[in-house]
Amino acid sequence: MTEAQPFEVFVRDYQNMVFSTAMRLLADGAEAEDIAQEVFLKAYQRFAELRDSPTAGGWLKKVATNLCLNHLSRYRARWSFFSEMRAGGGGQEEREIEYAAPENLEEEVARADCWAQVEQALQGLPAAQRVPLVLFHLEGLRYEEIAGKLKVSLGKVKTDIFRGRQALRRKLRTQLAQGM
Amino acid sequence: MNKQMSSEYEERLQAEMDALLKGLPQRTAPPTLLRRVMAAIESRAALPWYRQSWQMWPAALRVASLVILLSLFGGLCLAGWKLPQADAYASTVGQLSQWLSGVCALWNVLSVLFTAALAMVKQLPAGLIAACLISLGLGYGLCIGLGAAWLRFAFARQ
Repeated sequence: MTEAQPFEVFVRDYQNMVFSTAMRLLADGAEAEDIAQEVFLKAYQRFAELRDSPTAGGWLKKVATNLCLNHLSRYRARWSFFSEMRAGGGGQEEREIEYAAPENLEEEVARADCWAQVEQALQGLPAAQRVPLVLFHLEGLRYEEIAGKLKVSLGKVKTDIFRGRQALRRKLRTQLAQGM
Repeated sequence: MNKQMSSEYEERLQAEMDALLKGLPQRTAPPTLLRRVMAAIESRAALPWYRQSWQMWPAALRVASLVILLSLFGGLCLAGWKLPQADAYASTVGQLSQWLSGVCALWNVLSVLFTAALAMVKQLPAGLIAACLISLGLGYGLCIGLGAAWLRFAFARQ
């Protein structure tokens, strides 16, 4: 257990990043904590390599993403038939396209200091939209890579991401309008 | 014109969402996470070496296990190559086939039973067989439907 002390520091340094990654992909605190724990247990086995590695953060993020995607495909795919209804299933209202020029939502959000609302809106998206959206914008994956990871067509990835962006924007607009 | 507008809109929306999501601060991990990780490490470390993952074995044992596995693999390859040439091989095969004769008899009985069942099914009217299959399908669908309804009801109440 001589490794325990430096490893504790290592966990402290990276726990927020790993937990954020898992939380944004899974939208469930308990599951995200389980995945984060699994990530750090894997990291412990390779701690000798990781402790001084400048790419440790990237490694942790990649492992967290892969474990989350495995988790989603293993435990959730079989229940998608049941769960889409709960999530709203990406309802009809998301199919229409708005042509109104988007205003600077980011500035508005930063000004109102309501990042928690963005997280909440992101978590409110159905998994089919949230996961590719997070992989694209937060994990920096390309459309083709996302399609490969999620084992869906490129067209579906593009459509889901587009709908996800629209739905997120709509939710935020509503929340900002209500909050101010 | 409409297509151009749509493309412009998509690009602006993408840029806007990119800036918004990349600006998100990191979430704070629950305070229980560190404790859980350290407790899991301690409980794993308390396990005897043979119940831990291979990477956690002492280096000497890892080398030894690798040597043993490679020797076993080499031995199996050698046996697969040399055994058919050995004198004792034919007699061993003969003995084995004697032992397996009991299994063959059982297999014969099962295949006769299966043929008889198949012949009986063939005697049944096609309508009855179709009705049975439809009933089975409906029953299966009903189970799935009831399960789905129950889960949706259960989740809706949470």
